[in-house]
This record gives sequence, structure tokens and C-alpha cells, in this order.
Amino acid sequence: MSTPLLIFLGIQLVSFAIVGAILFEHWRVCKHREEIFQHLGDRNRERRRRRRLALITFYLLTTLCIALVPGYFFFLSN
Amino acid sequence: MDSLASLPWKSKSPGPVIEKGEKLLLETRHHWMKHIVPIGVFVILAPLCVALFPIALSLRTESVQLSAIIFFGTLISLLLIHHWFFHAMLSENVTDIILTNRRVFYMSHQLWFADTMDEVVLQSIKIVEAGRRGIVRRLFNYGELWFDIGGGGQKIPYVPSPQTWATYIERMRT
Repeated sequence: MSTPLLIFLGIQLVSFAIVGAILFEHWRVCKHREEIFQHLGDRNRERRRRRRLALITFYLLTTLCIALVPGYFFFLSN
Repeated sequence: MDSLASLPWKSKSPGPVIEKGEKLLLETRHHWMKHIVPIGVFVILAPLCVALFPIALSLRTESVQLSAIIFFGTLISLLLIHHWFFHAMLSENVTDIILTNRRVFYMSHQLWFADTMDEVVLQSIKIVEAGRRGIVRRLFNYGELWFDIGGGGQKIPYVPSPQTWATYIERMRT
């Protein structure tokens, strides 16, 4: 494996670690928050869940695009 | 002001004690105008970074080192902007302003950095003010709530329809 490729993979590894850390903390806070709303008798759980899912999906997809597309064009395409 | 948790690190507190008979009346997040700055920064800087990738690719035949420097510099910049933006958006997603029949909660988070929860008991509020100062706030119907609890004040910014909130709070106080 060439050095630039190793550097690229290292950067992407750190990037996905950041994604994991942010999503873990977000999940923890959401869990805590939903417990509070459940005690208060809130009925908007489904709407919050859909919004959260959309944001997380968008985050993961864009991170994946940034991981794959530049790497493909720099290392694999001629 | 009764502040249950204002900690710079991850809070392990169990959260507010919900009293018997306490029910949710209103719930909202910050008005979308709070997101304008991060969205603006992301929309301007991210395409600029993306535009540098073709330049890095075109320089590969002439100077591999320069091409690699531009490529990795651009990649790191893009990833920093990308993660900063989504950190801000996900943090805003878990920020809540809650009105129950007993209290007002203001829970705001900066994931991994800050975790604050303020509550104001309705009976301790002496004055509640709802302000929409400026043409932009009046146009988009958002502003701030300010509570005078005798000896101090509590402000909640970026509240959508602050007059509605103030009306509800006044009604629950009496």
C-alpha cells in the first residue's frame, strides 16, 4: 500500500470515529430526552423519531460520499 | 433560578423529577433561524472545498507532491466543516423548550461539550416578557422569553411564537 493511500485511509478512519462518537452521544441524549417526554405524556414521539432518522441518514450518506468519491477519483481513476 | 444541571461534561444526572399530575402543554425547539449561520457557512465553504478536488486531480501529472498536498488539505478541511455542521445540527435536534402545567424547562446541548437543563417553576415567575425585536424576528415570528423570578432572570432565545408561550405561561400562573 502506498503512503498517500495509507494517509487517506487513516483520515477516513478518524472521520468515521468522529461520526460514531457524535451519533453515540446523540443517541444517549435522545434516550434521556424520550424518558422525560414519556413521563410528561407527549404524543409527538413518531415525528421526533422521523426527523432524527432523516438527519442521521443524511449525515451517514454524506460522510460515505466524502469517503468514497474523492478517493476513487484520486487513487483509482486515470 | 432552579438549575438542575449546568455541567461542561457529559451529565450523568437522572434528569428532572417529574411530579405527579404534571403534564406537557407546549413543546418546541429553537426557531430555524438559529440554524442560518451553520447552514450558510456549510453552503459556502463545502462547495469551495469540493471545487478544489478537480484542481488536485489535474495537477497529478505535473507535480504529484503538490497534488497530494492540495488533495489532503482539501479533504481534511471538507471533513472538518462537514462534522462541525452535523454536530451543530444534531445538537440543535436535541434542544427542547418545554412548558408543563407546573414548570418551564429549557434543555440545550452541545454534544460532548455542554449539557444544560434549566427549569423555572411557574409559581416563582413574577413577570414574563415575550420580545420580537427587529424586522427579521417580526417577519419570521420568533424572539425570546424572559422571566423575572425575583432576584434574577432567565432568558430563552430563539423561541417560535413567543407571545403564544407568554400567554400560556400567564394562564398557568393564575
